[in-house]
Amino acid sequence: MNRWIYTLIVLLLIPVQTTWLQAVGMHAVKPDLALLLIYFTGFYAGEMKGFTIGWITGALMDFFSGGPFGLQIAMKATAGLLSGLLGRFFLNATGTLTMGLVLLLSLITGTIGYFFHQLVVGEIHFMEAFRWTLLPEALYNSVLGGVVFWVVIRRLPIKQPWSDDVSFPPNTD
Amino acid sequence: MLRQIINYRRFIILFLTVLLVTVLLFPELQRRPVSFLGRPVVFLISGLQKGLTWTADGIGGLWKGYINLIAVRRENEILKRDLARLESENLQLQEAAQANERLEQLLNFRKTNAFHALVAAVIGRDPSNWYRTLMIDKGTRDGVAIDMGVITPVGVVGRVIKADPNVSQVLLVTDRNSAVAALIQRTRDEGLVEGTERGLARIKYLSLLADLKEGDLVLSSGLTGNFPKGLLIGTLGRVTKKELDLFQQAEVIPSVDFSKLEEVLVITSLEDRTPPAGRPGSPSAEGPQNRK
Repeated sequence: MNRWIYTLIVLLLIPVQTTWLQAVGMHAVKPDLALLLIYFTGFYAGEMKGFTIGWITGALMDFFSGGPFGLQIAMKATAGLLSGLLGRFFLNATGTLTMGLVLLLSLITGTIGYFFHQLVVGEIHFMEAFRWTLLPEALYNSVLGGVVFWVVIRRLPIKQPWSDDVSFPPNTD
Repeated sequence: MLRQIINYRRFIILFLTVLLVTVLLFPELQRRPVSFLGRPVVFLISGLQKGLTWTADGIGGLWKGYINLIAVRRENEILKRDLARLESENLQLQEAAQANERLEQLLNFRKTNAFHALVAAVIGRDPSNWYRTLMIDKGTRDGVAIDMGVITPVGVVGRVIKADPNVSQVLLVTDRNSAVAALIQRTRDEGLVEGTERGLARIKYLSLLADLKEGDLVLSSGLTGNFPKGLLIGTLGRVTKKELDLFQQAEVIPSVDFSKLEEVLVITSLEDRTPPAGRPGSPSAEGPQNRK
């Protein structure tokens, strides 16, 4: 994708996340647009780009979040790396697979965030955090990830660059 | 394939990330270089936030006033366009009237209370679900400083945790990291109101002997420096009293609907604004009020 368009998306992402998204929040939980952007970047463009976008959006989120600086960087950069690795294992993702992977990624990065938060800020009960923050957010991200896949990604001529290197079933010649 | 994926380069990246984050998480580093670095970014993005908040009203008006009318018959288009324009204008006027009403309420509230306060507009919320914060359009240039209390005529909102020159961040009372000294109006028992995971609040450290009832009003006690005594925080919900516990606690239902906040008051000083007693025109002959 054009670098300028990407920059614009990243710059607009935080204002949208902090203003309009409040309207679609349920029980004070809103979807994480940044995580979706990072997932699709990492999955389709590789872990290095996923990591970079994750790092940048994480840093931007940290400037606007009430938490300690570095928490979102850790979560989002890890999400970028992981989505890149997932992209190497799964080729030609379907909507259902996308939903499943976004759910998994959201839960993993949420758990990492929980441990960082525990380390820096203080005690939170994991089950409370899981029940009221991690799981609802992951489910919300998963549904939105599926919608983004069906509405946008499926229609774009996006292909994983390494997909040509791999043949299924593996070539035994 | 696995060997290709797990190569040394990624481990170095991961290691550097963890190292960087660990360094950044040191409390001393949180304050200086990070805030210096963050100011231009916050300035740029908060400008976009203000723009998006402003255009949201415009888009809402456009939707209600124009797009809803697209489906009607073609021969009435001109007439309906006029109607749409008038409806849009009407909505804008209604919006302005409501904003005026809210601001008037804030100003009246400010006049009737002794402390100094500053009106600020809410321009954004926390991007993550881990924290409950608001971004307001007033910063250090307007006299806002860290730890100042933020309220509305309906009740306590939270306190300022970050203050940039043009914008500030407010930690809501429903955030799990928030703590406000409070008392129960009816029984005068004191406790500490903290946020919960569910986005509500609870009052802790209440005496086991306290006779608490659902619906009791919870007020600020004034023991923490940022709020005057007697501001409404919320009402008591379910009370939890266990035999072996040293204290009892109760849910607090906040009086403020945080999802609909548009303007707030920042308490810039708790000092009495009223002129000294004896001076002509003095409305109060009492000493300083609302001190902690």
